Amino acid sequence: MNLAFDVLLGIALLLCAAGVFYSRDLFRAVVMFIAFGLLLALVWVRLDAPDLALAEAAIGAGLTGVLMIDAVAHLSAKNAHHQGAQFDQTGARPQLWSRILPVFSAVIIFILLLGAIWWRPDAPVSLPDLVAESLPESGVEHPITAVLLNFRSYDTLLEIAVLLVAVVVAMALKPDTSEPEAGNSKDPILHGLSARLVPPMLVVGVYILWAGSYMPGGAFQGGAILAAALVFLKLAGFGIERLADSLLRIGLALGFIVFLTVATSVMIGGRPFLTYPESVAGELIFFIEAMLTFSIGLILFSLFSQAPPPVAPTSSLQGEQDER
Amino acid sequence: MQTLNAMPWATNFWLAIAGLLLVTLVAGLWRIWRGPTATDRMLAAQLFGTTGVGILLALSQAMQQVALIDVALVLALLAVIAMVAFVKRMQGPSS
Repeated sequence: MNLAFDVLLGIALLLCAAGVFYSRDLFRAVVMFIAFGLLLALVWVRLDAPDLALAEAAIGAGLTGVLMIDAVAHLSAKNAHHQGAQFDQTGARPQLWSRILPVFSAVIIFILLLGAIWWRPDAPVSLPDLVAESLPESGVEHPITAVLLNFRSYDTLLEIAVLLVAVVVAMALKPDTSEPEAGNSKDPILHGLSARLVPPMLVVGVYILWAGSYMPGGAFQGGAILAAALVFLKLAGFGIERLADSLLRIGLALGFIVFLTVATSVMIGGRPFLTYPESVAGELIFFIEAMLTFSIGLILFSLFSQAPPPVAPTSSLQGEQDER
Repeated sequence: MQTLNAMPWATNFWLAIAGLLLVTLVAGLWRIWRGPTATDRMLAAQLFGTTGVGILLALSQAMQQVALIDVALVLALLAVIAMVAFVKRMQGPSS
């Protein structure tokens, strides 16, 4: 029964991936990709990695799909504006070399991966055992959080820095023509939905953050949920990103600043960079995570909100026929 | 991970339910491919979200993992957002 389920799941995942690649219609590829994210979350579940499943569910279902739909809307609006035509997807056939090259490199990578699996070196130490051994010193009960925020917190610190740089670039590229989505805030359905949906989202975001210290969860997943709530509010027509622009900028950097401050201030006591005193490690980790959740939420939301609103909302895709 | 090893028939029962839902999901995949309109595809994706919640809950029983209920909760809350983005951004201004 286990095997049958896993095989079916694998086949569905491959079908979905093929659907993304072989789709000439951009929107179909996007929807396929949303479905792919969901199936991937299920695969992570079957691989006993609920942390990854949680992240995939939050990012894949909540944010990637929205970003891509937004991008397709921009593209189609742009195309309609400039050429009076939709996507030119039935255009020239790709050159021969542009087909051979990807296939060739994919085969090479596949062979290399196969070799890496076949001749993998024996692990000198069993890392899971090592983590389990030193878990009591980390201040949290969940091994993944212990690794991310204590044993290997350097990686996490740099990840936050990368996210921050990404959003700074996005803000720099933003054209200076931000208008609120006109006339949208009157939509009664969206208003009703946001009144019912956003509060539970915020509560669940905080819960996931809190749960991170003893079970799957944590700052990134909580932040993604927070970001999804903000994206929803923006889509519903609330001009939240204009409410407090300077506050938003502080919030974006807050997580990184707090993380770095804690990481360096432990050095005053003569400890190495990024090692927390054991007695307060749990509290410090939770404090950092809470700040990170806030910042990650704002960062992910900013990546969405920095995109300009569509030039002219199109309804051209509504009646579009399958053209394959 | 903790595997309390519940009664095998119960595990198989929940796995069968999850598998059945997965089959309906593959059927939905066909609808995404076939279309014909963007709305059909988006609704199929929305159905994926709901079915995914069901599969996750069934799997949480089959695998005895409480954390999967959280995953299902997150998925249930966030699946609607893609739909809202679709309606707002691709179907023109609301009247």
